Amino acid sequence: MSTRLSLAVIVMATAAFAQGRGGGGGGRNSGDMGAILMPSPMTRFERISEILRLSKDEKKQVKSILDDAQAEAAPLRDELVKSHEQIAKAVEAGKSQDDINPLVNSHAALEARMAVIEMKAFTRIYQALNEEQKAEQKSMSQLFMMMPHLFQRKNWNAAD
Amino acid sequence: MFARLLWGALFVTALAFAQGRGGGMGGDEGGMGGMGGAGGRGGDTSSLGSARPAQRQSKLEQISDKLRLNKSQNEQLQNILSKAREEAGPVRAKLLKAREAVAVSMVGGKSQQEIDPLVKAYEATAAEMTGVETQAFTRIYAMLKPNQQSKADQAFELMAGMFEMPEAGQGMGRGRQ
Repeated sequence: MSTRLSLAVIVMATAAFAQGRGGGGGGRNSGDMGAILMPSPMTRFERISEILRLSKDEKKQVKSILDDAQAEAAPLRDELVKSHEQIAKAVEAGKSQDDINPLVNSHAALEARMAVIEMKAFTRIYQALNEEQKAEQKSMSQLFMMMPHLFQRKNWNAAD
Repeated sequence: MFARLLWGALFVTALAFAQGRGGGMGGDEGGMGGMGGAGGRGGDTSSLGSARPAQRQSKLEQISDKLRLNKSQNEQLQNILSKAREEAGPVRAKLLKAREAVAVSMVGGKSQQEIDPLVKAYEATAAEMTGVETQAFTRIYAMLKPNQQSKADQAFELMAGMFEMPEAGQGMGRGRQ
Protein backbone atom coordinates (compact mmCIF):
# COMPACT_ATOMS: atom_id res chain seq x y z
CA MET A 1 0.00 0.00 0.00
CA SER A 2 2.81 2.33 0.93
CA THR A 3 4.60 1.61 -2.36
CA ARG A 4 1.43 2.33 -4.29
CA LEU A 5 1.07 5.56 -2.47
CA SER A 6 4.68 6.49 -3.20
CA LEU A 7 4.28 5.75 -6.88
CA ALA A 8 1.15 7.79 -7.03
CA VAL A 9 3.02 10.63 -5.40
CA ILE A 10 5.70 10.53 -8.08
CA VAL A 11 3.35 10.69 -10.99
CA MET A 12 1.05 13.18 -9.36
CA ALA A 13 4.07 15.26 -8.48
CA THR A 14 5.23 15.26 -12.06
CA ALA A 15 1.79 16.24 -13.17
CA ALA A 16 1.78 19.07 -10.71
CA PHE A 17 5.15 20.17 -11.91
CA ALA A 18 4.15 20.08 -15.54
CA GLN A 19 1.02 22.03 -14.86
CA GLY A 20 2.09 24.33 -12.14
CA ARG A 21 5.72 24.83 -12.88
CA GLY A 22 6.46 24.93 -9.20
CA GLY A 23 9.64 26.59 -8.22
CA GLY A 24 13.20 25.57 -8.58
CA GLY A 25 14.08 22.39 -10.20
CA GLY A 26 14.94 21.26 -13.57
CA GLY A 27 17.69 22.62 -15.55
CA ARG A 28 17.95 26.29 -16.01
CA ASN A 29 14.33 26.99 -16.04
CA SER A 30 12.37 25.64 -13.51
CA GLY A 31 10.18 27.28 -11.55
CA ASP A 32 9.60 30.71 -10.44
CA MET A 33 10.36 33.65 -12.57
CA GLY A 34 13.35 34.59 -10.48
CA ALA A 35 15.02 31.35 -11.36
CA ILE A 36 14.44 32.01 -15.03
CA LEU A 37 15.65 35.54 -14.92
CA MET A 38 18.62 35.03 -12.69
CA PRO A 39 20.11 31.60 -13.20
CA SER A 40 21.58 30.32 -10.03
CA PRO A 41 25.29 29.61 -9.93
CA MET A 42 24.53 26.55 -7.84
CA THR A 43 25.81 23.22 -8.99
CA ARG A 44 23.22 20.57 -9.72
CA PHE A 45 24.22 18.69 -6.62
CA GLU A 46 23.68 21.75 -4.49
CA ARG A 47 20.32 22.21 -6.13
CA ILE A 48 19.31 18.59 -5.61
CA SER A 49 20.46 18.73 -2.00
CA GLU A 50 18.40 21.81 -1.44
CA ILE A 51 15.33 20.50 -3.26
CA LEU A 52 15.33 17.23 -1.33
CA ARG A 53 16.59 18.75 1.91
CA LEU A 54 19.23 16.11 2.22
CA SER A 55 21.04 15.35 5.43
CA LYS A 56 24.81 15.05 5.46
CA ASP A 57 24.65 11.28 5.05
CA GLU A 58 22.02 11.47 2.36
CA LYS A 59 24.17 13.96 0.45
CA LYS A 60 26.99 11.46 0.38
CA GLN A 61 24.67 8.75 -0.82
CA VAL A 62 23.04 10.84 -3.53
CA LYS A 63 26.37 12.17 -4.77
CA SER A 64 27.68 8.64 -4.98
CA ILE A 65 24.57 7.46 -6.88
CA LEU A 66 24.91 10.24 -9.41
CA ASP A 67 28.67 9.80 -9.79
CA ASP A 68 28.17 6.09 -10.39
CA ALA A 69 25.52 6.81 -12.99
CA GLN A 70 27.80 9.32 -14.70
CA ALA A 71 30.56 6.73 -14.88
CA GLU A 72 28.16 4.17 -16.31
CA ALA A 73 26.90 6.68 -18.84
CA ALA A 74 30.30 7.87 -20.05
CA PRO A 75 30.83 5.35 -22.86
CA LEU A 76 27.23 5.71 -23.92
CA ARG A 77 27.63 9.45 -24.10
CA ASP A 78 30.42 9.05 -26.64
CA GLU A 79 28.35 6.61 -28.64
CA LEU A 80 25.47 9.05 -28.69
CA VAL A 81 27.67 11.82 -30.03
CA LYS A 82 29.00 9.52 -32.74
CA SER A 83 25.61 8.23 -33.77
CA HIS A 84 24.26 11.76 -33.95
CA GLU A 85 27.18 12.70 -36.17
CA GLN A 86 26.40 9.76 -38.42
CA ILE A 87 22.88 11.05 -38.93
CA ALA A 88 24.24 14.48 -39.81
CA LYS A 89 26.69 12.99 -42.29
CA ALA A 90 23.93 10.95 -43.91
CA VAL A 91 21.75 14.04 -44.34
CA GLU A 92 24.69 16.00 -45.72
CA ALA A 93 25.45 13.20 -48.15
CA GLY A 94 21.88 13.38 -49.39
CA LYS A 95 21.04 9.84 -48.30
CA SER A 96 17.47 8.65 -48.63
CA GLN A 97 15.06 8.38 -45.72
CA ASP A 98 15.41 4.60 -45.97
CA ASP A 99 19.12 4.99 -45.38
CA ILE A 100 18.67 7.46 -42.56
CA ASN A 101 15.99 5.55 -40.64
CA PRO A 102 18.29 2.81 -39.33
CA LEU A 103 20.68 5.46 -38.04
CA VAL A 104 17.81 7.22 -36.29
CA ASN A 105 16.70 3.93 -34.77
CA SER A 106 20.12 3.04 -33.46
CA HIS A 107 20.47 6.51 -32.00
CA ALA A 108 17.13 6.05 -30.26
CA ALA A 109 18.28 2.72 -28.86
CA LEU A 110 21.25 4.48 -27.28
CA GLU A 111 18.96 7.16 -25.92
CA ALA A 112 16.79 4.50 -24.33
CA ARG A 113 19.83 2.98 -22.67
CA MET A 114 20.75 6.41 -21.34
CA ALA A 115 17.22 6.94 -20.06
CA VAL A 116 17.47 3.66 -18.17
CA ILE A 117 20.63 4.90 -16.43
CA GLU A 118 18.87 8.14 -15.56
CA MET A 119 15.78 6.41 -14.23
CA LYS A 120 17.83 3.90 -12.26
CA ALA A 121 19.64 6.78 -10.60
CA PHE A 122 16.31 8.44 -9.89
CA THR A 123 15.03 5.23 -8.36
CA ARG A 124 18.11 4.77 -6.20
CA ILE A 125 17.84 8.34 -4.94
CA TYR A 126 14.14 7.84 -4.27
CA GLN A 127 14.87 4.70 -2.31
CA ALA A 128 17.50 6.50 -0.25
CA LEU A 129 15.02 9.10 0.95
CA ASN A 130 12.91 8.89 4.06
CA GLU A 131 9.12 8.72 3.86
CA GLU A 132 8.73 12.40 4.55
CA GLN A 133 11.03 13.35 1.70
CA LYS A 134 9.34 10.88 -0.65
CA ALA A 135 6.00 12.45 0.11
CA GLU A 136 7.19 15.89 -1.00
CA GLN A 137 5.48 16.04 -4.38
CA LYS A 138 7.16 19.19 -5.55
CA SER A 139 10.62 17.97 -4.64
CA MET A 140 10.12 14.62 -6.27
CA SER A 141 8.80 16.18 -9.43
CA GLN A 142 11.71 18.57 -9.56
CA LEU A 143 14.16 15.74 -9.19
CA PHE A 144 12.33 13.72 -11.84
CA MET A 145 12.43 16.60 -14.27
CA MET A 146 16.14 17.13 -13.70
CA MET A 147 17.04 13.62 -14.75
CA PRO A 148 16.60 13.66 -18.56
CA HIS A 149 19.98 13.93 -20.24
CA LEU A 150 21.70 14.66 -16.93
CA PHE A 151 24.58 12.34 -17.77
CA GLN A 152 24.99 13.38 -21.36
CA ARG A 153 27.20 16.14 -20.15
CA LYS A 154 30.80 15.56 -19.25
CA ASN A 155 30.05 16.60 -15.71
CA TRP A 156 26.53 16.14 -14.39
CA ASN A 157 27.37 18.43 -11.52
CA ALA A 158 28.43 21.46 -13.50
CA ALA A 159 26.82 24.71 -12.52
CA ASP A 160 24.18 25.84 -14.98
CA MET B 1 -8.19 2.19 -8.80
CA PHE B 2 -4.50 2.81 -8.51
CA ALA B 3 -3.96 2.20 -12.20
CA ARG B 4 -6.66 4.70 -13.04
CA LEU B 5 -5.08 7.27 -10.79
CA LEU B 6 -1.68 6.56 -12.26
CA TRP B 7 -2.65 6.83 -15.89
CA GLY B 8 -4.86 9.78 -15.19
CA ALA B 9 -1.89 11.57 -13.74
CA LEU B 10 0.32 10.56 -16.63
CA PHE B 11 -2.19 11.87 -19.09
CA VAL B 12 -2.39 15.19 -17.30
CA THR B 13 1.37 15.42 -17.22
CA ALA B 14 1.76 14.56 -20.84
CA LEU B 15 -0.94 16.96 -21.87
CA ALA B 16 0.50 19.84 -19.91
CA PHE B 17 3.94 19.06 -21.18
CA ALA B 18 2.86 18.72 -24.77
CA GLN B 19 1.19 22.07 -24.61
CA GLY B 20 4.57 23.47 -23.91
CA ARG B 21 3.76 25.66 -20.94
CA GLY B 22 4.36 28.57 -23.18
CA GLY B 23 3.36 29.69 -26.57
CA GLY B 24 5.02 30.26 -29.83
CA MET B 25 8.52 29.15 -30.28
CA GLY B 26 8.93 28.21 -26.67
CA GLY B 27 11.79 25.96 -25.93
CA ASP B 28 15.24 27.22 -26.09
CA GLU B 29 15.07 28.67 -29.49
CA GLY B 30 14.24 31.97 -27.98
CA GLY B 31 14.06 34.84 -30.32
CA MET B 32 16.64 36.40 -32.47
CA GLY B 33 16.00 39.99 -31.82
CA GLY B 34 15.49 42.36 -28.99
CA MET B 35 16.67 40.08 -26.28
CA GLY B 36 20.01 41.63 -25.65
CA GLY B 37 21.62 38.40 -26.51
CA ALA B 38 19.65 36.62 -23.91
CA GLY B 39 17.44 34.43 -25.97
CA GLY B 40 14.39 32.89 -24.46
CA ARG B 41 13.95 29.53 -23.02
CA GLY B 42 10.33 29.57 -22.19
CA GLY B 43 7.90 30.99 -24.62
CA ASP B 44 6.10 32.76 -21.86
CA THR B 45 9.16 34.50 -20.60
CA SER B 46 9.81 36.34 -23.81
CA SER B 47 7.98 39.42 -22.72
CA LEU B 48 10.48 39.83 -19.92
CA GLY B 49 13.41 39.84 -22.23
CA SER B 50 14.28 43.46 -21.81
CA ALA B 51 14.43 43.18 -18.04
CA ARG B 52 16.70 40.23 -17.98
CA PRO B 53 20.44 40.33 -17.66
CA ALA B 54 22.66 38.96 -20.37
CA GLN B 55 22.69 35.19 -20.48
CA ARG B 56 24.04 32.50 -22.66
CA GLN B 57 22.88 32.49 -26.23
CA SER B 58 19.76 30.59 -27.08
CA LYS B 59 20.13 27.47 -29.19
CA LEU B 60 18.68 29.35 -32.14
CA GLU B 61 21.30 32.04 -31.80
CA GLN B 62 24.05 29.49 -31.40
CA ILE B 63 22.96 27.68 -34.54
CA SER B 64 22.68 30.93 -36.42
CA ASP B 65 26.14 32.02 -35.32
CA LYS B 66 27.63 28.66 -36.08
CA LEU B 67 26.29 28.69 -39.61
CA ARG B 68 26.77 32.43 -40.14
CA LEU B 69 23.25 32.84 -41.37
CA ASN B 70 22.02 36.00 -43.04
CA LYS B 71 18.79 37.73 -42.10
CA SER B 72 16.64 35.81 -44.53
CA GLN B 73 18.16 32.51 -43.49
CA ASN B 74 17.57 33.41 -39.86
CA GLU B 75 13.90 33.83 -40.59
CA GLN B 76 13.85 30.49 -42.34
CA LEU B 77 15.65 28.93 -39.39
CA GLN B 78 13.07 30.29 -36.99
CA ASN B 79 10.27 28.93 -39.14
CA ILE B 80 11.88 25.52 -39.43
CA LEU B 81 12.48 25.24 -35.70
CA SER B 82 9.05 26.55 -34.87
CA LYS B 83 7.42 23.99 -37.14
CA ALA B 84 9.59 21.23 -35.74
CA ARG B 85 8.66 22.20 -32.19
CA GLU B 86 5.03 22.01 -33.16
CA GLU B 87 5.54 18.57 -34.69
CA ALA B 88 7.47 17.51 -31.61
CA GLY B 89 4.65 18.42 -29.20
CA PRO B 90 2.78 15.11 -29.21
CA VAL B 91 6.03 13.16 -29.33
CA ARG B 92 7.31 15.10 -26.33
CA ALA B 93 4.21 14.13 -24.40
CA LYS B 94 4.64 10.47 -25.33
CA LEU B 95 8.28 10.60 -24.38
CA LEU B 96 7.50 11.94 -20.93
CA LYS B 97 4.78 9.39 -20.48
CA ALA B 98 7.17 6.61 -21.48
CA ARG B 99 9.81 7.94 -19.13
CA GLU B 100 7.35 8.07 -16.27
CA ALA B 101 6.24 4.54 -16.98
CA VAL B 102 9.83 3.32 -16.72
CA ALA B 103 10.45 5.29 -13.52
CA VAL B 104 7.26 4.12 -11.90
CA SER B 105 7.97 0.50 -12.72
CA MET B 106 11.50 0.76 -11.36
CA VAL B 107 10.41 2.47 -8.17
CA GLY B 108 7.67 -0.10 -7.82
CA GLY B 109 10.23 -2.90 -7.98
CA LYS B 110 8.93 -4.46 -11.18
CA SER B 111 10.95 -7.23 -12.77
CA GLN B 112 13.30 -6.63 -15.69
CA GLN B 113 10.86 -8.55 -17.88
CA GLU B 114 8.18 -6.06 -17.01
CA ILE B 115 10.45 -3.07 -17.48
CA ASP B 116 11.93 -4.11 -20.83
CA PRO B 117 8.79 -3.48 -22.92
CA LEU B 118 8.48 -0.05 -21.35
CA VAL B 119 12.04 0.75 -22.32
CA LYS B 120 11.27 -0.48 -25.84
CA ALA B 121 8.30 1.85 -25.97
CA TYR B 122 10.53 4.69 -24.85
CA GLU B 123 13.02 3.78 -27.56
CA ALA B 124 10.34 3.87 -30.25
CA THR B 125 9.24 7.31 -29.13
CA ALA B 126 12.82 8.52 -28.91
CA ALA B 127 13.20 7.47 -32.53
CA GLU B 128 10.20 9.61 -33.43
CA MET B 129 11.78 12.57 -31.69
CA THR B 130 15.13 12.05 -33.39
CA GLY B 131 13.17 11.84 -36.63
CA VAL B 132 11.71 15.29 -35.98
CA GLU B 133 15.18 16.65 -35.24
CA THR B 134 16.58 15.04 -38.36
CA GLN B 135 13.85 16.43 -40.57
CA ALA B 136 14.43 19.91 -39.19
CA PHE B 137 18.13 19.54 -39.78
CA THR B 138 17.50 18.36 -43.34
CA ARG B 139 15.48 21.51 -43.99
CA ILE B 140 18.15 23.69 -42.44
CA TYR B 141 20.87 22.00 -44.45
CA ALA B 142 18.90 22.52 -47.64
CA MET B 143 18.86 26.28 -47.17
CA LEU B 144 22.59 26.60 -46.57
CA LYS B 145 25.03 27.95 -49.11
CA PRO B 146 27.98 25.70 -49.93
CA ASN B 147 30.34 27.77 -47.79
CA GLN B 148 28.03 27.34 -44.78
CA GLN B 149 27.63 23.60 -45.06
CA SER B 150 30.95 22.68 -43.48
CA LYS B 151 29.62 23.64 -40.05
CA ALA B 152 26.27 21.95 -40.49
CA ASP B 153 27.09 18.89 -38.42
CA GLN B 154 28.05 21.13 -35.51
CA ALA B 155 24.70 22.84 -35.83
CA PHE B 156 23.00 19.45 -35.72
CA GLU B 157 24.91 18.68 -32.56
CA LEU B 158 23.43 21.81 -31.04
CA MET B 159 19.99 20.57 -31.99
CA ALA B 160 20.35 17.37 -29.99
CA GLY B 161 17.36 17.12 -27.69
CA MET B 162 16.24 20.67 -28.31
CA PHE B 163 12.62 19.74 -28.95
CA GLU B 164 12.30 17.42 -25.99
CA MET B 165 11.68 19.99 -23.33
CA PRO B 166 9.26 22.81 -23.91
CA GLU B 167 11.25 25.19 -21.84
CA ALA B 168 14.42 23.37 -21.35
CA GLY B 169 17.49 24.88 -22.67
CA GLN B 170 20.89 23.52 -22.11
CA GLY B 171 19.93 22.70 -18.56
CA MET B 172 17.87 19.68 -19.32
CA GLY B 173 18.58 19.29 -22.97
CA ARG B 174 21.51 17.44 -24.25
CA GLY B 175 23.76 20.26 -25.37
CA ARG B 176 26.94 18.36 -24.96
CA GLN B 177 29.37 20.22 -22.80
